[in-house]
Amino acid sequence: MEGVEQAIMRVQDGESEQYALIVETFQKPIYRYCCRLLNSRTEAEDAVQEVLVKAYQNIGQYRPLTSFSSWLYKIAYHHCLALLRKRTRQNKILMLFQPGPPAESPEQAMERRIFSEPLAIALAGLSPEERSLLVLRVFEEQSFAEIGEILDKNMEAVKKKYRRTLLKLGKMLEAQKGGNTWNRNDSLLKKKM
Amino acid sequence: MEQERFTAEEENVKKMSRNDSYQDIDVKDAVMKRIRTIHVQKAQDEAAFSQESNEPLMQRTQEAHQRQPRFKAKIAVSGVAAALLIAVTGFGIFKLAGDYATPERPLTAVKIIESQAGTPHVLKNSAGQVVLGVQNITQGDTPLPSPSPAALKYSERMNTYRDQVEAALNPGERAVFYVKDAELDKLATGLGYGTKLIDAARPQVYNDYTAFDKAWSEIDHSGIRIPSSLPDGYEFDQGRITDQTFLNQTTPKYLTVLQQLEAEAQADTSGKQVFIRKLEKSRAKHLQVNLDYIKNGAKRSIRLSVSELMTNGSTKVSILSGQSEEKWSIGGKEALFISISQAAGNQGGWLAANRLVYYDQDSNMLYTLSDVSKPLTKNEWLALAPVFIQQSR
Repeated sequence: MEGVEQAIMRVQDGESEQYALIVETFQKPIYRYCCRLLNSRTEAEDAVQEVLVKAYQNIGQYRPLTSFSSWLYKIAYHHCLALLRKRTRQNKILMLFQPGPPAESPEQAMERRIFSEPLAIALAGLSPEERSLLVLRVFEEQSFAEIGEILDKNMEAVKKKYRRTLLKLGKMLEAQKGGNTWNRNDSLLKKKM
Repeated sequence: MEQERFTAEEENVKKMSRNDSYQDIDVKDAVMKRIRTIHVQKAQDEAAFSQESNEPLMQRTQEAHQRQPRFKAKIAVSGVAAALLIAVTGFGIFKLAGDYATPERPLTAVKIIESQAGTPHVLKNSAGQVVLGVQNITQGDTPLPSPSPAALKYSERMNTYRDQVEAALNPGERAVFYVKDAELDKLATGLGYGTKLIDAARPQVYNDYTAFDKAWSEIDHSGIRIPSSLPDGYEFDQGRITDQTFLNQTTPKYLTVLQQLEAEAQADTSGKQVFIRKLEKSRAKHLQVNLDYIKNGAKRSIRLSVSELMTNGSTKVSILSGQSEEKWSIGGKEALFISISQAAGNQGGWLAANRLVYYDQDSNMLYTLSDVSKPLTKNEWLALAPVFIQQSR
């Protein structure tokens, strides 16, 4: 990441072309994160652009007290959160005029494949923060310290919240399957964290 | 990253998501296109905001502060004297420009190097590595925006604080300062300014060439010798050396100083608003030298910016549409000449100044000479270039 750090300093000094290296390095992880948080590839593609432009506009405020990747995830989290809120509001308005669930287009059906169907349904039952926590930890493999930086929480609070989220997800998956696919074991979870 | 192992449950969740279809995303071109637009807009804002500033884009895109000229009284007196002289004698100062290309001073010292079709000029070091290139930026047709009332208010308020700080410094000293002012913070937040530590420096001022030359030669990387006179009899009048080496925002030292000053400000109950930390003397990485030469009341101002070349790569000079670049060989030493933008109009700033950029390998410094306040003609620059560049060490 030395090249990236150098590039950040140079962008902060006004060399905007150096930002290309930052885009190249982070576009895929941020896109993955946005995809999983928004559960939509199309929205995620727009989101990743917005996040990277926002980061450029605010790069003067970045300090190496936190990792640059955490700083970017934080911007992405807040951006996706705003999109999800907007989506909720729009859905509520749509529901007023369309009593049944909206028909799913082939593209939407394909997009749903970001997650398997049971997981997609279960994730839909989580709050954006819980969902972000899960995505960052399980799929992006971020440490609890980094997740704390992204979500503005201390590490212990993140661990507790994560444990509860994982259990909540397990229950929802179990409820769908009605079987034993989810091997819930609280003591094991506590031990590993 | 912590080595936290995943549980079987977490592994199960992971398997429920596809991980193979995220590789096709590439938004680099789209993002960079937007970044360039923002960059140009920012440059235009900066040019509008800081008419006196001639700093090239590569140096800074942080907030621009509209500075009141420190020596405005002296400039005003010189201006009035010049105007009177013109009125009384009927001489036009513009005539002086034409005096450069005379048979007594043929312009043979500078060789203009033609660029190969479509290839922009670059400067290389002795190892053949490119150290300086140009970057063409196309700006839109949008007229230069005026600074918003909020930006002007911020600038005015900040300049008051900066003047307080500069008054507390001795000539040649540098400092960073933190301001405890809720209204200023509010303005900064609204304007998107992120800088918490503000830079201030007090120049060393010399009205005598011998003293100036001594001070300049004591700077260990003064790779250019500054002459006592310019072609056509302009004599040294004043030189101001300002060390603009400030704390890099990405270094731990910056954070430490910021945290210390923030803590001081928080603990203070006396109503003090400005918290200063003087910076220790160190090797200058950015210097600005303002030079005034005078002849019969007419003044010629040259600004020299000296910046350490960044390691691991080359630096690019931004060229907006309307500006053009040439490579000059001055007694075997190469420099890039970037001409004034014909479209600059009254925009001021570095859009409306010619620049001559020279790299000195021994000091690893870039020297940018520019004509502030009144642009010189190309012929004048052709005469001026050898005076500075050939006398480099």
